[in-house]
Amino acid sequence: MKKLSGLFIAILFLTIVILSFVQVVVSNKLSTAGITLGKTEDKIAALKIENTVLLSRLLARESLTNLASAASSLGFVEPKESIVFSGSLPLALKQ
Amino acid sequence: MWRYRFVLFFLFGCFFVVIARLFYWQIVKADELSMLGKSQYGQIVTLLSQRGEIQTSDGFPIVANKLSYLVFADPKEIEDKNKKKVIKDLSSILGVGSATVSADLNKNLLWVAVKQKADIDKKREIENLKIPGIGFEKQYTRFYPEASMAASLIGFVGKDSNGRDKGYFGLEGYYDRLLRGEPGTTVEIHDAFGRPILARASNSERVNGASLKLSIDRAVQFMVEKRLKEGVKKYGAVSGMVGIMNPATGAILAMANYPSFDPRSYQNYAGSLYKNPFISDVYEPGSTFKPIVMAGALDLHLIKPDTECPICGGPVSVGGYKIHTWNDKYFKNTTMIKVMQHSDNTGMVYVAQTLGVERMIRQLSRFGIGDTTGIDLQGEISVPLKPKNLWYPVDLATTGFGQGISVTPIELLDAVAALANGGKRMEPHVVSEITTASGNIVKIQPKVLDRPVSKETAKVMTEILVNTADKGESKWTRIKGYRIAGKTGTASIPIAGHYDPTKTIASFIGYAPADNPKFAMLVILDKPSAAIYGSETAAPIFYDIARDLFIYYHIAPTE
Repeated sequence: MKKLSGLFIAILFLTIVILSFVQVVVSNKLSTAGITLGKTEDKIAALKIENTVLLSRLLARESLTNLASAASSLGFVEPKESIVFSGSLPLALKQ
Repeated sequence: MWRYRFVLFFLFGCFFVVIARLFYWQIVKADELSMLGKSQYGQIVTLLSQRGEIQTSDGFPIVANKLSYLVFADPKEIEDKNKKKVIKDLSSILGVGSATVSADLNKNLLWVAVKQKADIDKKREIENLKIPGIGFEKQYTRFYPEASMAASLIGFVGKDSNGRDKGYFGLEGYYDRLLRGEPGTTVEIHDAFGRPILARASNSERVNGASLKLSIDRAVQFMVEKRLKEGVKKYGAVSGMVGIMNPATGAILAMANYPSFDPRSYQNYAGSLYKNPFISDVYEPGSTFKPIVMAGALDLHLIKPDTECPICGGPVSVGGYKIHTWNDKYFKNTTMIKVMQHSDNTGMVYVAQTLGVERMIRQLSRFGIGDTTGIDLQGEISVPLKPKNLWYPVDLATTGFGQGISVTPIELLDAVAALANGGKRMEPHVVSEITTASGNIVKIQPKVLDRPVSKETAKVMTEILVNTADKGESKWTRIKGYRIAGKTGTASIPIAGHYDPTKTIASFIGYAPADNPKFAMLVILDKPSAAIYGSETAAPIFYDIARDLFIYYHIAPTE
């Protein structure tokens, strides 16, 4: 009985030592992870800003107002009338 | 014994005081203390919410959000010897007058706003100067990739009395509660060096605004605005507007006004330009109103297309007034088809008198005249029809040809679109889909408001209007090969109790292709000076736009 309780106390003591060690390691890791976290957050924010800016530029370029002026400067003109093909079919229909 | 009791009650009293105090700090003041505690190791950060986008039918965001910055300064941090240079730099980069910047930086305050909505390039330029005491606050502002396209339809975003974003006019006003989101807050936890720590903190979730998808076709809107601008300039009109609707669903395909405003700098425009005249202005429609009155009489079988007008041989006297035709030409015993073709006012007096006041009111009401259409835009108005006992004989007569009665353009377009839709009047709407922040899509279903005339009457009236477009005053500008139902209008403008003979509102209303209409369109020009008639001004604009639409929708000619 005495042997068992001694073993139990030893296991308990060992567990406490291991857990304390783990806590020290994890806390140490966490405290330095803050720097990485900060850098990552800054990077995310910068990328989000860049995305927003690029999207604004893309939309402005895709706008019909911009396309119309670009097309006009390239020499494209509006069709004055459409050509409609009507009348008899050019191929013989199978009877 | 009493001493024991005294000590006992004393101790109970002390415990009660302690418990009451604990209750006060831990329950009543819990939130406040919690925030105070968090503020010692964390920083409360506001999570900006984004206002919902507005997209055209092709999914293109005609209104989006862009990142901008509020540039602020702490004047006490800027040294006096550098102030002159700082003022010059800020003024040139931000485009703000140096006097304004100087006034801001010389205030005896710790925080002054220097410029709102500065874009990111300007922010970077200022950052590169490394001026102490200058800071930036991120904010989202509206971005309009198509510049001022459909400005009066969209409205704009301003501030409410608390300085928060608020939509005004058009869609921004009507759907403001849906479009605006709710900003959230979060606590960023830091270590002693100010570096962020991986830890859970309480957040209040931000909610972005819902996005709207419109029935507005961007290409059609672009074409219409271009044609309208050219038309207003060509015919020397004060202003002009065009509305195009899908008669089968009530979906608005385009709505344009000229002149309009730029929502990016709405402050620089007259307030009168903010409202959308297509839904907020009333006018006397003149002859474009005739199809509604005639359709009402045809539907009640009071007249037929070949009914002859017994009073059309000359001017008609009603209640002491003499009613003439627009060109003082008269056609004795003319048929209803010809009445419409010649836009004969005397013929329409006959139709109105045949209807009588009671039936006139009933038929017009069924076409939605005198009531708002329910379009999803802020600022729609209507002028109710007069009660029966206030109608004089001359009122009945002039209503027959669209004078002495006021309508909004959307009211008239919706009524005539009912003829294009086999007699069914649809509720006009601009938004076709709402996408909530969580991604749920709500589709807006077409809604039938009334059935003012039967399918047969609508068909007969359409044939009369096709004949009118082909052989009437505007025949010179018609598009060959297409069956278009249409009617011109030249309405006199009432000024101080009489009609001004030199100023008119010229208009053209119609739909095409007549047998299976894809669009109904109303063109209005206010006081054109090159010519006063709708057939010479509004009609060519109508046909120019119709020609564009035939090509755009791949509609081939049928004749």
